[in-house]
Amino acid sequence: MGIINRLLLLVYALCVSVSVLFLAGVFLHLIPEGMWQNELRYAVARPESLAVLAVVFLLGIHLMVAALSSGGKKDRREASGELVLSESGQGQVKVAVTAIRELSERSALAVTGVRDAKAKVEKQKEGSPISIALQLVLIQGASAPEVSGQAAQAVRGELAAALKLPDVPVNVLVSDISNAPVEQKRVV
Amino acid sequence: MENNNKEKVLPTKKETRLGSIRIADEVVSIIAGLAATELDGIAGMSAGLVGGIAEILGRKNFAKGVKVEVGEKEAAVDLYIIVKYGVRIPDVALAAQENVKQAIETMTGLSVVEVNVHVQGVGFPEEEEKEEEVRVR
Repeated sequence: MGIINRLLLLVYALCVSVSVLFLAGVFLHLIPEGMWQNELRYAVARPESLAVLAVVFLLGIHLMVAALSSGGKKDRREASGELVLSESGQGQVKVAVTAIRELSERSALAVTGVRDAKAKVEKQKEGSPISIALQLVLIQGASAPEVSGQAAQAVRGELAAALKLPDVPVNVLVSDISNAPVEQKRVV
Repeated sequence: MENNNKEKVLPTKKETRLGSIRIADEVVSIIAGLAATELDGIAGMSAGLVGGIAEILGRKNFAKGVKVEVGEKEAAVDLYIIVKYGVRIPDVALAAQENVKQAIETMTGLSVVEVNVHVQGVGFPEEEEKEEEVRVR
C-alpha cells in the first residue's frame, strides 16, 4: 500500500474510531440524551453532512479496492514460483524463486561496501534461464563501480556454485548511498 | 484394493490365507521425510501453513514437506526441502532422490517412479544458531 493510501487509511480509521466512541457514549448514557439528539438534528438539517458522508463512503470503497488489488504494476519479466533446475528419470529438481533471491542478496551483502541489497529474479528468453536485477545501497566512501562489480561477481559465483547455473547476467543499480553506521557484533 | 482410509494392500504370498498387509499413505510420507532429513545438505523440510501451525501446537510432523501418490505397486513423491547454505543444490537434490527411492522401495516394496524435489528456501547459519539458543536455557 502506498503512502497516500496509508494516510487515507489513517483518516478513515480516525473517523470510524470517533464515530464508535460517540455511539459508545450514547449507549452507555455518558452523553445526555438531549445533547446527542440536538446534535443529530443539527447534522441532519445541514446539506454539508451529506457531502461528508459521501466522502467517507467513497474513501471506504477506495481503500477496499486498494486492499484487494495486486499492489501496483508487476514487472512481467519478474519470475515467480519455481525454476526447473534439472529433469531426469528420477524426477524433477525445482528451486523456489525466493530461494534464488535470498542467495543473491546474501552474497551481495557479504561484499565490503554494500549496506543493503535487494534482488529480483527475472525470466530470460535466451541463454541463461534467469537474470538478476540487483539494487544496492552503498556505504559512504565506497567506490560504486568497484563495489557493484564485486557484488555482481559474488552473485554470479554464488549461483554458479549453488545452482550450477553459470554466467547468470546480473544487472546492478546503485540506488542510494548511506552513511548510517553498520551494526557489528562486538562479542561472540 | 483400497479402503476409505487410503491404505494400500501389498501383494504378498500370505495375503489370502493369513490376512492382508496394508500400508497407509502417511507411512510412505514419513519414510520419505526421514530419508530426506538424514542427508547432510538438507536443513529441514518446508512445512506450509497447516504443518507450521501443527508444529507450533507441539505436534511432531514427520511427514512434513512430503506429498506422496501411492498406487497398487508404484509411488510418486514430491519433497519440499530447505537446503543448507553453501551446498550444491543439484547434488543434494540428486542424493535426496536416490535416498528416498531406496528407503521406500526397501521398506514397502513399492516401485518409486519419480521423486520430485522442490527447494523452497536456504537455511543460513545464524538462523540455525538463533533456533538453538531458544532451546537451551
